[in-house]
This record gives sequence, structure tokens and C-alpha cells, in this order.
Amino acid sequence: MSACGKGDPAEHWAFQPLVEPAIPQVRDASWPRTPIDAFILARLEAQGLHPAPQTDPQTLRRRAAYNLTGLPPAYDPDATKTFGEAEIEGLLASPHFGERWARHWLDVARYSDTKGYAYASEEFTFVHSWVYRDWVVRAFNEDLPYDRFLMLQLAADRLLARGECAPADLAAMGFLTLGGRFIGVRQDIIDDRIDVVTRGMLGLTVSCARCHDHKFDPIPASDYYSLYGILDSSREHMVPLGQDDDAELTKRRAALETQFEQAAKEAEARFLDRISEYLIAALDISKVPKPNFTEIISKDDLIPEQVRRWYQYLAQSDKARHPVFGAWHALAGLPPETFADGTARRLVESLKNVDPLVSASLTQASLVGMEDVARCYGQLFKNHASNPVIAEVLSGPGSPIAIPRCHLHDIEWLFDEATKTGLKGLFANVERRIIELGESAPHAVAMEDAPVPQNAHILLRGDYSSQGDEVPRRALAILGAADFKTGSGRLELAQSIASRDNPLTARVIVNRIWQDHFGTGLVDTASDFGLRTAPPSHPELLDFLALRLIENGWSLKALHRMIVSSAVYQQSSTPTPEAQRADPNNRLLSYFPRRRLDFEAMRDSLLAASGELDLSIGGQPGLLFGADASLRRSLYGRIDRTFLPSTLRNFDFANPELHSARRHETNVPQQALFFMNSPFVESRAIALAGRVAGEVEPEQRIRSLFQFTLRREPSRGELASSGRFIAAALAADAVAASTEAAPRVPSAWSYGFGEFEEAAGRLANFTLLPHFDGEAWGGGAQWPDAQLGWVRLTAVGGHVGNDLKHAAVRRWTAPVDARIRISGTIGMTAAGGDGVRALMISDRRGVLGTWTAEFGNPVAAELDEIAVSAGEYLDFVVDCRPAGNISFDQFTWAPAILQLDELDGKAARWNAEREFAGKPSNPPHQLTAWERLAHTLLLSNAFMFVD
Amino acid sequence: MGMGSVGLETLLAEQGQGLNPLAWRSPHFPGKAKRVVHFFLNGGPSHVDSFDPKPMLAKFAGQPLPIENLRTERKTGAAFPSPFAFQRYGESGIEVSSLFPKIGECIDDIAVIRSMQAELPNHEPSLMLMNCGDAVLSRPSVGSWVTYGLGTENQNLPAFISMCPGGYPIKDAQNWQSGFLPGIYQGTFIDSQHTRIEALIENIRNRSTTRQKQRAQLDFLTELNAEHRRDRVSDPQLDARIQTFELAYRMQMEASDAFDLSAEPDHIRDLYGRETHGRQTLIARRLLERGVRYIQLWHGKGQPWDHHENIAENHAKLAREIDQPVAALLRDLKQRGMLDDTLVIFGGEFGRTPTVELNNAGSSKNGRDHNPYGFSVWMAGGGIRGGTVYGSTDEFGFQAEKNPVTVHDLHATILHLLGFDHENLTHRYAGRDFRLTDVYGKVIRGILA
Repeated sequence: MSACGKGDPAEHWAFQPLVEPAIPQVRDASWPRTPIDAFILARLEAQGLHPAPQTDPQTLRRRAAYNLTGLPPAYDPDATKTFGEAEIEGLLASPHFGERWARHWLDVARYSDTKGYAYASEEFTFVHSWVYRDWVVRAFNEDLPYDRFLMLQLAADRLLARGECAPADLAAMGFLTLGGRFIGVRQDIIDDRIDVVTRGMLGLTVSCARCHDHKFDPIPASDYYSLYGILDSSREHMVPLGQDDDAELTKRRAALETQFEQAAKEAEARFLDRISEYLIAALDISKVPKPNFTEIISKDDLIPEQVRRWYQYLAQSDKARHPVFGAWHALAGLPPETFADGTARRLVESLKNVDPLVSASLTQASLVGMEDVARCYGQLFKNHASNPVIAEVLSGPGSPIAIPRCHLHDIEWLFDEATKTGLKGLFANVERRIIELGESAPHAVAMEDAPVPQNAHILLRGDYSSQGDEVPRRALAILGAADFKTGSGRLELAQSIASRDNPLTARVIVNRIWQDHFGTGLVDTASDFGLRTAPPSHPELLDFLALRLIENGWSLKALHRMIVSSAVYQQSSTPTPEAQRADPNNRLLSYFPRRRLDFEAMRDSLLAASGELDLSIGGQPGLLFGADASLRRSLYGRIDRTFLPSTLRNFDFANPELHSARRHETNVPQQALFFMNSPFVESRAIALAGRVAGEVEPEQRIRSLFQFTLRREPSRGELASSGRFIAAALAADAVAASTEAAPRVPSAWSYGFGEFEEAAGRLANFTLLPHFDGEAWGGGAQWPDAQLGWVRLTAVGGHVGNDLKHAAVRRWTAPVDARIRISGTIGMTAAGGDGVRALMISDRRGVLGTWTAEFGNPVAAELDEIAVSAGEYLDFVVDCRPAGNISFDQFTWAPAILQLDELDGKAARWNAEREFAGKPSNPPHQLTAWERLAHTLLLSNAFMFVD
Repeated sequence: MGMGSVGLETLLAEQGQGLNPLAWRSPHFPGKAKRVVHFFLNGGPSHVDSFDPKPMLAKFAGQPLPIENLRTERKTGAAFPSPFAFQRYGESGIEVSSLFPKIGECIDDIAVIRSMQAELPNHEPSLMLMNCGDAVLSRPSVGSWVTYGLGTENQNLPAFISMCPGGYPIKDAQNWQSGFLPGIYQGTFIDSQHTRIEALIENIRNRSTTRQKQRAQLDFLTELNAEHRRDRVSDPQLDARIQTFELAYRMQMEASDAFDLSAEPDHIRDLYGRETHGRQTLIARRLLERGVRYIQLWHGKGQPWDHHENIAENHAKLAREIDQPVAALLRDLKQRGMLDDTLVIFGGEFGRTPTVELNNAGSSKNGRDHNPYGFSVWMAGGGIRGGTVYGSTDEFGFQAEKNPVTVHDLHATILHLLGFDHENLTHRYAGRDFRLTDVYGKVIRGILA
């Protein structure tokens, strides 16, 4: 299906200007409702296919509600009520429209509330993620023109400086700053930003050009490094967007600034002191560790990042005419052997722009090679720091010595390890306070241009130590390659993207929106419009929509309106056999493609069905699942790119590590397990059943459950099968209730602690352990417990208590008189401890056995035969050994007991591991018959699919 | 575009994206191995103390090496001879240190690669390289690629499982990430210090109803879905979702069974040992038996093998925890006839320096720093020629010298053993056909049976 990329790249359709297509003539003139339909129908007719009939209004209402707001429609008793313009307008005006479409954009923007893997000294939650997310929601709700939407995300700082946007719009720049932090490696952070900008906004895969010219698309490596230069000349900038008068935050900021200032001064002094060493090191970049080679650097070491900074500084082409470094530049180009014969001296004397002080000190010294030149420069800086040209290098803008007083992220590698860790800790304190303050102190992390922008050099094969040509900061080659003149060039980059003359921008967004309505875009690779991808299914329609978007002032709502009003959108989802044969992937759209609810729509619908959905808009994220789960829309669930809950992955959520072009729609058993067994779904079922508990008539209850869940009446068949189910379920519950009323057979096992009294040969002070955490019995919710310490018992073993008074005791109570055999093995789970003492003690017969277990030497604890009487206790006791210590004293011991005298030909068996149980007094709630009915409706395909 | 990707892309694209992406698929050619178990000694086990004896270190004990110390994360000083004695094992006579006597006894089933190379001296990128083939970028892990290429043989269990006692290794779930592949190919994490099935596999058990009542619910669901389907033209995604509930229902039982070690006889439990690693490894064997495709067994939370200090005591402690279980698995698989088609991999993200690590004051910490320049990994089982040593490091063990093996080569070999041409197992993403080995990798022929 891939087009071969052999044609002239310049001729590729996606790079051609938009051309107003003629509206095609169609035979069935009655079908089209919008011009879109003419394009669709023309192709269908050409293939001898027919569009499906218009779907019924109820189906359409549900389809449009999900597509436009991500929420189910309200139940309407009148199933035949038409769905028309007013209903479409209502959905477009809903505040939930912006929420739905924001989530689609957040996939593009690889949105996450956390930074990804981070070192312990850092705060790993972003301060500004939700502020960006809410900005996107607002932008879609207010129908912010799409070109401006892009401009603000790339260059709100520059627009603000020109008075062309509000300070609150700085939030938009989260698009750039919410990527993974890549443990601070700048080259990788910038790579991620290049990827999100180019694939997200332009449908171009520029990241491929990090190592070499793109293999298929007209994207040379110089394009990548041109963008690199722009983003490398931009810095992060954390800005308060609202009130900023919190005393604690001010205090923490001041602590950071004071420490930063001191650290920067110290580092600058060391940089100055060792200039000649740095210059010598910068002579051969291949000997300098690459940026992602992390060494633990002490204050006495040369800082590799400072060497790289010097290297980059000197490598800039403008240094050729620099009053201080022009001479360096010229000398560095000389063959080493020419230093001795005076060539170097003559060269320096011949240079025009060199400051006299520099040429004097260079010509006075005897220079044998560049290392001498470096030493000469070192002296020069030390002896003439107040000379204006020297001072400019030492502390002027873009100085290779001065540490910019900017966001710590941008300069952290200029510090030694200890200083860096200290500063990061202080920075994390600031971030933590901002997170605590939450909605009362929203912050943006914007970008700003560095005072002296620098061009990047092409890295051959992406390798930092093989630097090629310098690349000016400019537009992509296929977009004209005009050099950017202002600051970093980021504003001009934004302008070149958010432009009606850019052939990609409008096509890419209308295709994304088409994809999110129909499941597949007109171009089926939404983030790759390159040469190797399949051509659009309807190229003229793509251009038509792109041109309408621009013509309508880049209004996305107008585009949605046109799509949702179209006949192709309002078709039924039933294919004809001919269509399935002729067009199995439905690329021609002879019927509407049925969609599975995505994760967010699914979770929102569960909460909507149970009546629990909290529709408040915006603010800090909450938890999606668990006891403290938020009942707000899934959009407001915390997205942690490091620990993405497996439920999200199982439901094909967009991987927040990477820009996502499209969600997969899989059906896997893990999804079914979630529906069947997760406490989240069960809680919804319980609440849903609770909504209808007031109805007396069973049939009315069933009807109400269908109305809440599927937003329609049940069919006759559904009503009948529901009736049969509830009758059987109620009967089953009645039987269960009568058997459960019988006294439960008490467990033979109990879990406690006590003390082995050696002299008396018995267990004293047996006390039940008070807390069960789902896994083990122990002292309390925390392990170790403040009072009872480490003592703990699990199904297979446990941990001894802190002293001999707190031996772990697993007690078996004999239910009958019997002769029994006991087997089992005592082992240690970790090496390093001094082992444990294990005892088997009967309250009637005393000590039955004593063993010592050490790591690697598990011992069998077996008794071939003993007689016990009903009610007798057998205690399996483990302690830390007299005079022992308790470190690594986690043991395994799960005894099994076999009754030797068979009763009725059957021997009873007990197994500590299998029969291990939590608190019997706390059985989980059992779903009632009505709750199970409600639960089943939530599992149905009718709930999960949208026709 | 490669065969594996054709398989899936076609499946997703042409079948309306409704089918199970874990359906069994055949590889490029019949592979010797059908499943993989990878013991990951996270933190960086020392090769010169385990599988790569270096008598020259004793000669230079306490003195600087005659070669310049390579740059690593921290500063290192003089030659630091291994505190562990080496001994020859088996017919092959390969030397293994006293850290791993039981593994030593299995050496004739093992091929030791002594010339592994990573790229950077830091845990995070090296874990990413070893697991995902790229030190930095978010790329699918080996296990994800393998399940993408082969699907699974048991729909009732996760296809790719990563077990680690106590919590996550560093880099967390990124170690078994699916990257740009669908999320279902991501490894399922299991904290094997837990013993209860609910804690092991999410949503595997329902405590709010009985099995019979759940069955009645599913029967009712089947009726509802049948009615829904009756009104609609055949659609594979509707059928696929109906199937998933039946699969899930069976999975509840099968998974519980797989993790229930009380079903194992005592002599098998004793063979593995009753400790954490014995349990974890025995669970792995039960999972492999049931058709799980790829299992990683991590040593523990964080980076346990990272012994910058006092390596004699610390390495000995950890080795004691896994020597018996690893050897037990090799023996047990062999006696069940499963070693022939199960690939066992053993190693960390890098090795350690042959020189001693220094503290800030410049004195010895009796430990070793990270070493990506040369280290050992061994493999056994499916398609591996046992009793083999491949490649070597220099005379001190600092860097790979003879037949260096990159991590990409290791990955190419793993895929080869499973029946894949590593250059053709690809996935189209962001304008490129990506593969596990990027543009590198060659199969290590010298260790193939």
C-alpha cells in the first residue's frame, strides 16, 4: 500500500499549494447535503457503489454526542425526534466539546502530568501540565482560530512581548515544555520538541534527519539542525499566571535564588581561573565525553559541559571576526608545524579586526601550538579582566564564562554533581509548593529567547563528536528555507507554520479532525504526509476542507459543523455486501464506520450511567482509579508517563512518551477483566442499581436501567432476557442467603504473635495480629508498625517480630480428634541475616520440634505422626533466635497437615498457604441481583460501540 | 516491510481492527526457541568476579594497571583482583567463580559471551539499550517485539511478563515498554514478593460475586450481545469483543492455577528453593509451560547488583539468592524436555571495572564502578551451543577485545533463535520502518548449536 518514493519529492502532492477543486458532478443529486458529500459520492459512483441510507435520529444523536463531546446523549423518550442543525449547534456550544477535542490534541502533544523518569533529587510532577490542558480546552471551546492556536503554542512569549496576547496565553507553551525530561539531556529534550512540532503540526517526520538526510522525504539533516538551533536558542521560563503572593513560595524561591547565585559565582570563578585548561580541552571535541555520558563530576574536575560550551562558542562562524577570538579562529586553522616557523606570528599581525591587546600578547609569546595559544589566552583573561573587550567575553551576553541566571533546567550541567543536586533539591521545593497551591497559583512553563542565539552544527550520524557544517536558523527546506532574523527564530518558525501559504498545516489538521470523526483520515497516516505514505483517499476533498478552514478564519467549529451536517456523516453504519467486497476497508465511506469507545469515553460513560459523573471543568488532575478515584471526566485523570496504569494501556490510551498520530482500537481479554472484575466498574454498577431502587415494578426498573446505560428503551428481546436474568438471579440470591445463614465453618488457622517461654516449654501471651492489608496480617497499615514492629504473616511465611516477645505465630486449631502428619519447609527469603528459630508447640503437649533456618539452608519441619484432640492449638512459631538480630529475617513456612485416620474413607487436609485468609469479619460486598443486572448492561457491546 | 509487521498491520487494517493482536503468528523461519526467560541482574554484575577470570589482576593487585583506566561514571584506581576463586566445571572446563557454583555445574548447557559492549557508563541509558535497543528514545522492548512478532500460545495469560520482587527496577515500566507498538505488547509487571493472585494480576479475581453468578451474568451478556449483533451486518470487532469475555473468564482460572505453587511437589519446590527467587523462578517455569512467550526475572527493586563498595560481601549475598534457582530452572527445563526450545538469558545492563572505585578522598571502597566497555552475558537452551565461550576482554577485563558483541548483536541473535531475521521484523512508525536493532546488529554465529 505504500507509494514508492521514487518520484521527484518536489512534485509530491502534500508539498503542492492548496488548489480550489471543482465540486464534482454526481448522478444522484438528491443525496449530497454539503459539498463534502459530492466528493464522497463521486468516488462511490465511480466504483459502482451506493452510500448507505441515512441513519435513525437516535443513533445519530448518540454518534454526534460522542464525537463532539465524548459523552453519551441525554435520554430522550421520543426516539423519533429529528436530529438537526439546532442539536449540532447545541453540541458545538457545549463546554464539553472543548474537553473532548482537547484530549485529541493532547495525544498529539504527548501530554503527561509527569516528567518521566527523574532522579530522586527532582520533583517529577509538572507544575504546569493542567494549566496547559485547560488552555487547550478553552481554546477549542472559544473556537480560537487554529493558526493562532499554533502561534501561541510555539511563540506566546514573543506575541506577549508585542502586546499581541494575554499573559495567560503563556500556558500554551506547555506544548513544547511538557515532553519527557530525558534525565536532563538537552539534545534529547530538543529532539522530542522537534518531533512534536514537525509531526504534530506539519505531518513531517523531521526526527529521521537527526542522523542523516531523510531517506525518502526532502528533509535534509540541515533542516533538523536548523530547528535544533532555534530550540537550543530558547530557554525555559516558569511564570506565575495569577496571584503570586504566597509567603512560603516566595521564601523557597529566594532560597533557590540565593544558592543559585552563590553557586553560579563560584562556578564562574573556577571557569575563569581555568580558562586555558578549558580551551585546551575544547581543541579536540572527540576526547570530551558526549552529552549523555554522565560522570559524577566533582568541583575539582573540568566540567564537560563547560568544555562543550567553549567548543560551541568558538565554533560559531561569527567568531572569525571577533576582536578577541578572531585570532584564535585563524590560528586554529593552521597546520601545527607552521607555528615554529613564524607563520603563526605573521598571521596574527596580519589580522584586521583583532583587538591590539590580544595581538600584542599573542605576538609576544612564543607559540609552538594551539596549547600555547590557549595558555596565552588564559593569561590575557586573568590579567586584563577589566579591559572592555575582555570583559565583554567574561560577562557580556552570550559569554562562555558567565552562567545565565535562567531556569535551572537549561544550565544544570554547568555545575558539579553536588552543587547540581543541591540546586535541584531547592528547585524541587519551589515546584512542590506550586503544586500544593494548585489552582490558587497557576504557573506556566513558557520559553523565551536566549539573549544571544546560536546556530547549531550538523552532527554527522547524530554523533556529538563529529560536528559538520553550521546551519542557519531558518524555515524547512521544502517551505522555502528563508533565514530567520529575529531572536531564536521561534516566532518566525511559528509564522511559517501557521500560514495559509504552508501547504501542510491546514491539510494536516483537517485530516486529524476527519480521522477523529470517521476513525481513519483521508490520509491514513495522520502525522506523516511524506512520500512513502498512501495518497489521500479523496485528495480534492482534503484540499477543499483545508481551503474552507482558512477561508472561515481557521475556525475549527465551522469545520466540525460542515462534517457533522454532511450526508456521509449521517449514514447508517450498515454496509452492503457489495461494499464489503469492493471496499473492505471502507476507505470510500459507503457507510459510517462503527467505533469502539476509547478509554476516556468508556470511563466517562460508566460514570454517566451511574449518575456519578462530576462535570466540573478544569483544574488539577485527580486519580482515575482506586479508593480515592476522582469522579470527574477522564480528561482530568492524572497521566503519569512513567507509571501509566495498565488499564489505560489495555484500552489503547495514547503513549504519553511520544507524539501519537492515532489510537489503536483493539479488543483484548484484559479489557474484559476490567469490566468483569474491577472495583471501579462494580462500584458504578452498584450506584447504577441504586438509581432504580425506588422503582417498584421490575419491568420499570429494567427500563430505567436501559435508559441510564444506553440512553434508550430496551427492545422487546432485551426486556425479555433481562426479565429472565433477574428472576434467576433473585432466586439464586435467595438460595445463597439460606445457606449463608448457616454458621460458617470457622477457619482452622489464626494469625498472631507471642513469646516462647523456654523454661516452661510453652507459648505465652498469644495475641491476634490486629490488621490485615490484603496481603498479610501485621501490626497496622504501616509495616513496620509503630507498636508491634516487624511481625507479620503471609500465606507463605512472614517476618519475625522485633524481639523474642513478638514471635510470629501461625496457629492451627484442631477441629476434631485426629492423628495427623505435618510437613513443610522453613526458608529465608533473603541472604544476609543470621537466620531464624522455628518451633512447633502444642498447648497440651509442649514443644514438638525446634529448627533453625538460614538463608540457602532451608530445613524440613516434619512430624510423621502425632495425635491431637479437638480444640487443641498447634502453634507454628518463628522468632529471631535468642540474642539474634532481625535484619533479613523474612521467612517462608506454610505447613501442611494431613489427617492419617480417614473418616468415611476421606482424609482431611489443611494447607496454610491455600487456606490463608484475611479478616473473616469483613467479607466484601456481594453484588445483588439488580446490581449484577446493571453490571451486565455496562459490559454489553451496545454500551461499548457507537454505530 | 517485514513479515511480522505485515501480519499485524494487515490484521488491524483489513479486519476492521477488531481482532486480537496477540493471536499466534509464525516467524520468518522455524526458530529453535519458542519462548524466552531473561534473568536480569539489574545494577551491573561484575564479570571479572563471575564468568570472566582475570589472573592478571592478582599480579597487579593494588597497583595501577599498565593501561590507562577507561573513563566511567566515577573515578577508579588500582587493579582490584577478584575476591572469588574460579573453578573449572563440566566437560567444557569453563571457569566460573565461587559466586555461582550451581550454575557452574550446568556450564555445558551454557554459552558465555565474554565480550559484550554497551555504550554508556550509566544505569538508565544502559537499561534502555539492553531492554529496548536504544539508550534514549522510547522504543519497544525486546519482549514487546517478540510478542508482536509471534503473538502468544496462551490467550489466557499475558504474553510478556516482567517479574521483580519488591517493586520496580530503575527506569520503571520503561524497561518493558511497548513504545510505538500497541499497548497490549507492553510487559505485564508482577511484583513477585506478593503471594496472592489479586496482587499479581490486576482484576483477575472477583470477590464481589461467585463463579456461578458471574457465569450467569456472562450468559446474559451473550444474549444481549447476540441481539445487538442480530441487527447488524457481521462485524469482526463485535465478535472479537464477545470472545474477550469468554477468554477473560477462563483466564481467571488459568492464571490462578499458574501462580499456585502449592500444586508443585516438595522435591521441585526444594530444587528451586523456597525463598523469593526460588518462588519467582518456579512461577516462571509454570508460566513458560503454559505458553507465556517472554519472561523477565529481575533481581529486585532499584539496582541491587550495583556494588560500588564492598563487592566481596555484597556480590556474594546476591549470588547466593539466585545461584540455586537459576540452576534449578536449567535442570528442570531439561528434565521436562523444554530446554531445547526455551532460551535462557542471564546478565545485567553492563559489567564492572577491574579497577577499584575510589571515594572523594581517593581511597579504595573495595567496590567496582560501572563498565560498559566489556562484560559477560550468558545464554542457554533453545538453539544455543552449550559449553561455549565466545569472545574475550583484554587481559584485565576492562574492554572487549576479541569478537566484541554489541547489545544490537545480542538482540539480533535472540530474534534469530526465535525464527526472525532481525532486519525484517519491522514496524512502520513516523515515516520509517523501525526494527529492534535499528541499523545495526549481526547474529553471533559462534554460539549457535
